[in-house]
Amino acid sequence: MLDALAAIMEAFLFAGLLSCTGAVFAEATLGGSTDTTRFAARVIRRGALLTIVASLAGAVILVLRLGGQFDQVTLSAVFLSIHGAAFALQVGGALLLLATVAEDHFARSLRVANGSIVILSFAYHGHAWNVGTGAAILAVGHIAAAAWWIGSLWLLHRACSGEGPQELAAMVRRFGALAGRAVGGLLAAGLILALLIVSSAVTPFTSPYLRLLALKIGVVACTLGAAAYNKYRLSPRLARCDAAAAVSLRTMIRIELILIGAVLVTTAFLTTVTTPFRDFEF
Amino acid sequence: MKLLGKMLGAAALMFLQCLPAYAHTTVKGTLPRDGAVLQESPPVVEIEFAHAARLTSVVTSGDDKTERRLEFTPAGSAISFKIPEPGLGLGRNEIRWKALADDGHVIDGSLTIIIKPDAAGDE
Repeated sequence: MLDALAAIMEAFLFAGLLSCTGAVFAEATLGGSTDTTRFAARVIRRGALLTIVASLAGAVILVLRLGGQFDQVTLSAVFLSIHGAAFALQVGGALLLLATVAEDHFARSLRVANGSIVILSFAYHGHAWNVGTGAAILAVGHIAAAAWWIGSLWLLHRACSGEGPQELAAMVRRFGALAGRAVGGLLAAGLILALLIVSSAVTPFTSPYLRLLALKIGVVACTLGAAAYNKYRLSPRLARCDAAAAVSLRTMIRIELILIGAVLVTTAFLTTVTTPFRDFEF
Repeated sequence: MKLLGKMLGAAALMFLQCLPAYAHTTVKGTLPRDGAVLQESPPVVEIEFAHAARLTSVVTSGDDKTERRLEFTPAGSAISFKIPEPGLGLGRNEIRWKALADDGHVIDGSLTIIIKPDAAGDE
């Protein structure tokens, strides 16, 4: 029960963290009108708050899973472990993001730096840390690209109804120009990471870890299918300022976000309640 | 949207099938061993992990099911932990422990020690 609760809280943490940092990265790269900028500020604020709440709740749940004693032994086990390092980066970075939600150029640059602090927490998250420094760096790159993708989808979803056809087409064009590299990097980093973890693991091929990993890859493939439809079918229509395409894009972005949500939940369970490294050695 | 719902439903089903099977069993050995039958409570119980971990909780319960927390050393990250003077009572004693592995996963386990004054020794 507590394990499932921990995984659910981890999924909330992923959602908050990737939304706030992703909105920062997307805002810095996609531009948009004042409406989009205001919406980005709202996503950053809510995402940062969710990050702080989920991170604190996650720490409390971890203490409960370790026996429920808020004593020195348990608290030092939590905060002197990789959980403590990740917690400090998540809460510290999210607080800094909350403090810099302003609309001038300097604040925007500061937000990118603060968002990067939050993303760095993923060096201490999941199973990459156990493989080595290279894998941890790869995990940070993987998450940064995922955050940018999610943040961009939030802003584009808003732009579908809040922006005029020309501004929307310009945002989609800027997104398309970066998405190939970002999603390509995301996939390459994810695949290398998965290979590194699985090759260093002692888990059998039928283990829950590998079954969940296969499920994650399947949902990612569906998400990429939706993204490809947007790029090759809807983007050309948006470039011609087709109003119906904006409505279709809004629906497709919702589908993509639902699928990404499923990926995040799967990843949360993958990193919380399963492990590739342990074997029965009693 | 309907197709997406069905796909997510199928994924959720696969997901739930994965859940009950997970286990983090990292104990290499214990002293006395699990299931040992002793004439009296041992002076110390040792738990040895395969990898470094931080033990956070050790609880024992006897035939009356009353739980009692046990002290252990060391307090930080280690491979081997000692539980001095566990004071196990007559009959079946279960010692349950929880720890945080160095990979950040919560691990737990238990061992049973039976105290039987007329026992010939560790069976």
